[in-house]
Amino acid sequence: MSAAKQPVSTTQFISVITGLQASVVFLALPSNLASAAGTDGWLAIPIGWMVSTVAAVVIVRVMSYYPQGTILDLLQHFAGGWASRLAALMLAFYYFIFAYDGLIITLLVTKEWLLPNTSVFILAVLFLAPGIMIAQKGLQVISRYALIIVIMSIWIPFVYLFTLHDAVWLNLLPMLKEGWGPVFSAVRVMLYPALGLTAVFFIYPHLTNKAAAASAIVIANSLSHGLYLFITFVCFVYFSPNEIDQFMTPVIYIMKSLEFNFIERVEVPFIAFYLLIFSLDSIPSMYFVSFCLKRMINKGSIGVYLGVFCAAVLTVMLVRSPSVGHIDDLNFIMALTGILVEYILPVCLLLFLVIRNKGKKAS
Amino acid sequence: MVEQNRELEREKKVGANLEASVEIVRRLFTDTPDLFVRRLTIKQTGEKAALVFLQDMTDRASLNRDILGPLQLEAGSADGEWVTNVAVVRRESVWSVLQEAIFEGDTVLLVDGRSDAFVLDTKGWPQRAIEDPQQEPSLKGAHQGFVETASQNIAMIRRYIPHGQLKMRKFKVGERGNTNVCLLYLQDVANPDIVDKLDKRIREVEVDIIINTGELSEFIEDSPFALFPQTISTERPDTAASQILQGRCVIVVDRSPSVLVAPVNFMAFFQTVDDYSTRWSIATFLRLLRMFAFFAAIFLPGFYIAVLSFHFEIIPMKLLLTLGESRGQVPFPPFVEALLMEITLEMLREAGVRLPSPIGQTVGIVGGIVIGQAVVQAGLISNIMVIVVAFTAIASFIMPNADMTAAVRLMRFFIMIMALLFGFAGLIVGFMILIGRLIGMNSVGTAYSSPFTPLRPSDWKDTLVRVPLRLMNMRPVSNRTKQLRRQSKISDSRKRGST
Amino acid sequence: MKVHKIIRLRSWAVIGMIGLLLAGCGDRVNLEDASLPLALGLDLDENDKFHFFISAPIFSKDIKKKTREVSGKAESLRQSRAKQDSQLPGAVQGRNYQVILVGERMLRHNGWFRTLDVIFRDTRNTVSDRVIMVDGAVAPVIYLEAPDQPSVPVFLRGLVDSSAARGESVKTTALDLHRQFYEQGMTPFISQIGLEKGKITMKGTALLGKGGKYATSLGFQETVLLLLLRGEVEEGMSLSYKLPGMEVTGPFATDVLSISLGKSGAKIKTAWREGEFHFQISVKAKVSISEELFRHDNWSNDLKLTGTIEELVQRDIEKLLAKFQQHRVDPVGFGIHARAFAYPHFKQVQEHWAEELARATFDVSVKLQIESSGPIK
Repeated sequence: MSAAKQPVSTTQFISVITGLQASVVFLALPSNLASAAGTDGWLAIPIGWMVSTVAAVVIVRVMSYYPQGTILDLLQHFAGGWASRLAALMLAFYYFIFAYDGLIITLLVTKEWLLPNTSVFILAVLFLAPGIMIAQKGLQVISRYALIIVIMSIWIPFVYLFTLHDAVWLNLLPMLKEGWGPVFSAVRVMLYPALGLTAVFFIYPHLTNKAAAASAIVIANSLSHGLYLFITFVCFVYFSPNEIDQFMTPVIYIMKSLEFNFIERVEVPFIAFYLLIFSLDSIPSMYFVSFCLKRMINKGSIGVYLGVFCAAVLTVMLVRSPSVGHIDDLNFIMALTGILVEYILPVCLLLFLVIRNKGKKAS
Repeated sequence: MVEQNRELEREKKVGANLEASVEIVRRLFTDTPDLFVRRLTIKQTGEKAALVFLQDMTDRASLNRDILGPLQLEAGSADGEWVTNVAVVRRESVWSVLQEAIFEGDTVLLVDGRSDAFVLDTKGWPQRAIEDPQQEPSLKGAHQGFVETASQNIAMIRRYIPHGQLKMRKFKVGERGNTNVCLLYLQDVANPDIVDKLDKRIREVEVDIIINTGELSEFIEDSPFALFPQTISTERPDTAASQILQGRCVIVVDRSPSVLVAPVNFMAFFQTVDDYSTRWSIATFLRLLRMFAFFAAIFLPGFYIAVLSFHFEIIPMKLLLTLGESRGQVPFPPFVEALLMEITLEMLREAGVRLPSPIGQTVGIVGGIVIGQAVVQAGLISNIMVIVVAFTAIASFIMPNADMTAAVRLMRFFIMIMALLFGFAGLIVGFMILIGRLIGMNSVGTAYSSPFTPLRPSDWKDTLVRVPLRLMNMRPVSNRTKQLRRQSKISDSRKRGST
Repeated sequence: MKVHKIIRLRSWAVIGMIGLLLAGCGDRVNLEDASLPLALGLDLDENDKFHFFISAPIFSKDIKKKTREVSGKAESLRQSRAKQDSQLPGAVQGRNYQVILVGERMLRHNGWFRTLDVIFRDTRNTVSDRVIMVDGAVAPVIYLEAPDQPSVPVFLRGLVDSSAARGESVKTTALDLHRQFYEQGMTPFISQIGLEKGKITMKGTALLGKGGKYATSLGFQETVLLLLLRGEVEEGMSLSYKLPGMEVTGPFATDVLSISLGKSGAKIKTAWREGEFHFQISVKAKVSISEELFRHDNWSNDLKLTGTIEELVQRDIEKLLAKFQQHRVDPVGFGIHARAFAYPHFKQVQEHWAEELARATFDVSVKLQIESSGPIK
C-alpha cells in the first residue's frame, strides 16, 4: 500500500490534528463563549475537552480494527463496497464544508485586515494555489508542513502575555455567577472547535507508531483545548464582560492594544502570520475531499480531484459571495454534520465492530 | 565503411605479429600527430617490441627512465622475462581496451610473438599544484583544495580517513568522455539503500561527456528542475571527509575539482568546516546569522515593497516622516525601484566574477558606492532602498554554498513579485510555496527538510546551533546511517576525573 | 512525460500570475501618494453642530509647514471622510491617529462616544490613540503651529505619555475608553489639556459620567491618588503635603514635604451591609522622601512622621472619594470589585452603579514605609 511509503510520525500527526481543530476557530471563540455564558464561558472548555477526548479515543479504537487502511478500506473490509462509498460521499461532503469554511474565514480575515479592496475571488485563487501545491504531494508532506507551521508558531501565545499588562483579573469573578446553566449551554459553542478529530480516519494507516496513536490524539486535543483556554482567559481579563460580545474577533482585536516602539498596528504582521496557521485547516481538508472522491471514482490522480475541489469552491463563491453571515450558516451546518461524523458515526462503528467481533468469537 | 571497419577492429584481439599490430595502431589512430610508436629491441629477451603512447599524456621522464632504460639496457632476470621499473603493469588483449589505455596516458608495449599487449602506467598529464580552494576559503582549516585528477583527490580524502571501511565504487560515465567517477562511502556507516540508489543513478547516466561535476549532479538529483540544490559541491577535502563521516556519500569526478556530496538536507548548506574548529559559542552565533541572512536575503526587498505599497500604517511614527520624505522625491513606485536596484546589483556581481581579482574587487566596491550615491542624489532611488538592497546583497554573500546563494537570488525576485501583487498576503503565500517546495523535496530518498520535519531533535545539536563537540557523539539521524554513535570517547575519559 | 507535465504546469502558473497582475490590486497605494492623518479632533460649534478636525503630515522636503489641517462640518465621522479626502492630497487609506481631541462643548452631552464608532469598526485604524479632552475649543489646538515644537499630533502624544508616566495625568487610549464606557462597573476618565498663551499645557484628568458627560476634573495630585487606588502607580510619582505644625518662615513654603512613591498598591475589600456597599481600602506604599523644605533633626522620629504623612494621605484619599461620590463617578472601578465579590447585589444596581456608589461607605487606611530620604540628611 502506498501508505507505507509515506510515513507520518507522531509529532506530525499531533500537529495535523491540532491544526485542523484550532486553526480557524480560535479567532472568535471568546466572543462566542461570552455570548453564551458571560465570563463563566471558559468553564465550558474543560467540559468540551472531556467529551471530545472520549470521541477521539473511540475513533482511534475504531481504526485499530483495520490498521493498514483508511476508514474507507475498513468499511469495505467489514461492510462491503456500498458502505465504503457511502462513507466516502459523506466524508467528502463533510470535509468540503470544513475546507470551505476555513477558506472563507481566511479570505474574509484577509479582506478585512490586509487587502480590503481586492476581490474575494482573486484572494481565493491566491490561497488555493499553495494549498493545491502542498496537498497533492500527499499526507507525508502535508504532515511535515503542519509540523513546521506549528513549530514556527510556538512563540505567538507568548506575545499575548503582553496584553496582560492591562488585565482586569476581577472580570473572572465571581465564578458561576448564574450557576451551571449557562455553562452547559455554552458547551454547544465548544462543539465546532473540537471538530477535526476524524482526520485519524485517513492518517491512521500512515502512522509509524500506531500504538501511541491514542495518546497522541489525546495530546493533540488537549493542546487545542489548552490553547482555547489560554486565549479565552486572556480575552476575558482584557475586555470588560459588557463589551466583549461586540467584538467579532477579539483575539485579533486584542493585538491592537499592543504598542511597540518599532512598529505601529502590530496586528497586521500577526494577521499575515495567522494566514499560515489558517492554511492548516484547508490543506488537509482539501486532501481528504480529493482522496474520498478519488476512491469513489477510482480514476486519475489526486491532482485532478484537487482541481475539481478548487472549481467547486470557486463556483460556490460565485453563487453566494462570501460574507460574515455566511460563516454562521456554515458553522451551523458544520456543527450538525460534525456531530454526525465525529461523534455518532465513530460510536456506531465501534459498536458495530465490537458486536461483529464478539459474534465471530462466538461462532 | 571505414568507421565500421574500425569498430570491428577494435573488438579484435592483439595478434602475435608486431608489424600487423603497428598497422592496426596506425589505422585506429588516424589524424593523431601526438601519437608515437617507438620501436625497440628488448635487450633482456631479444624480442622486438614497440611502445605506443600519446606524447603529452605520458610522464616522459618516467617513460624514458623506467621503461626504455631497463628494456634497452638492462640485463634480464633469471626466468628470462623482461622487466621494467613501472609499478603498475597489466596484460590486455582487446584493442578497445588498449586504445582507452593509450588515451588515458598509459604506454602500451607490443611485443613481437606475444598475443598479449602490456599496459604500463605512465600517466602524466598536465595538472596544477594543490592550492587554496578559491570559493571556499577557511580560517582554520587546511588550505588544500581538490585538483583535477581524481586519484589525487581520492588520496587527499584518504588522508582524512585512513580506514578500511572507506569503500569506493568506480564508474565510467560518458560515451566520449569516459570520465572516471568514483563513489566513496563508509561501509559501516552509510545507509546501503542510499549507496545503491546513487550507484544505480550514476550508471544510468547516458551522455556524451561530463565536463564538470555540476552536470553530473543535475543527472542524479531527485528534482533537477527545482530551484534548490539537492547536492553539495565542495572543493575542500576536509569538508568531503567530514560529510563521509556523517554518513553521506561523496562522488569524485575526474577532471573536476569539485566533488559532490549526497544525500544532503537543507541545513547542511549552512554548515562550514570552520564551525567545528572555532569555539562553539561563536559557531552557534554564525549559524544563526546564516539562517537569518537566508531569510533576510529572500524576504527583505519583498517586505520593503509590501510595507511601502500596502501597509505603511505599520511604520513607526518617527520613521514614517523620513521615509515618506525620501520616497516623495522618487518618481518610481517601490517595486520598480527595488527591481532596478536588484538588477543593477546582479549585473555588478556577475561582472565582478569575470574581472581579474584586484580590479574586480575595486569595481565591486567603487561601483556599489558610486552608483548608490549617484542614484540617490539624482533622485531616482530612495536611500532606504539602497540600504535594503545592500543589506540583501551582504546577506546573500554570507551563505557558504554558491548553489544555495543562486537559489536565493532567484527566489527573491519571485517574492518581490508576490509582494507587489498582494502585499503581506503575497509574502505569506510566497513563504508557503517556499516551504512547500522545501519539505516536498527529497535528496536521494532522505527528506530535505530534516531535521525539522520529520522532527529529529537530536540532530538539532548541529543545525541552528553548534553544541560543544563533546555532546555531538551521534551521527545525524537524518542521514539514516547504520551506525549512530561516533567513536569518540572524549566524554568518558573526562568523566573519569583528571586534574 | 513527467517533465512535460511540469513544464505545462509551470507555464499555466506563469500565465495565471500575469492574469492576476493585470487584474490589478485596488489596495496598492504607495506611501508618498497617500495621506496618513495623525490627529483627529471632534467638537461642537456654538450651534451645537458637529465639527471634525484632521491633521496630517506632509511628505515633502520643500514645504516648510510640517502638517496640513483639514476641518469641516459633517453628520458623522465616516461621512466626513469625503470632505477629508477632498482636502488632502493623496488617497487616505488608514488613519494612524496619535491623539483624538474632544472639545469641551462635546463633553457637555451624553452619548458622544458613539461618534467614534468608525474608529473601531474600520480595521485600518489604530485604537491606541490617546483620547484627550480640550479645556475649550479644539480648533486652536489643532491649528497650532509652534516653530519650536514638533507637529501637534506628535507633541500631544508625547505630552500625554510623559505626563502619565509622572502621574500628572492618565493615558487613555481609544480601546481603553471603549472598555471604560461599556464596563458597567466604572466610569471613564481621560487626560485634559488646555491652551494658554499659545502653549499647550497638561491640566490633569477629566472624569466623565456614565454617558460621557463631563463631570469634574482632577489635578495632578488627585490623579496620583486615583492611580494609587487603581493600583497603577509607577515608581517615581510624587505627592506633596504641607505638614501641620511646622513653622513657615518668610514667603517660602517651608512646611512642605514631598514623597516619591515606590512600590505601592491598594487592596479593596468589598462588603454589602444593610443595603449599602462598603469598601475597605488599605493602601500600602513604600515611599522615599524627595523634598523636605524644613529642618528635621533626625529620623528617629520616623514613626511620628510616618504617621503624620499617613494621616494626610488618608484624608486626601477620603476627600477624593467624596468628590467621586458627589459627582456620581467611579473612575477607580469599585463596581468591578462589587461585581466580583457581591454579585447578586451588584446585579440589581448595575444599570446605575454610579448612583449606588454615591451611597456607599469607605474605610480608608494607609500604611507607608519610608525607605530612604535621599543622600542628604
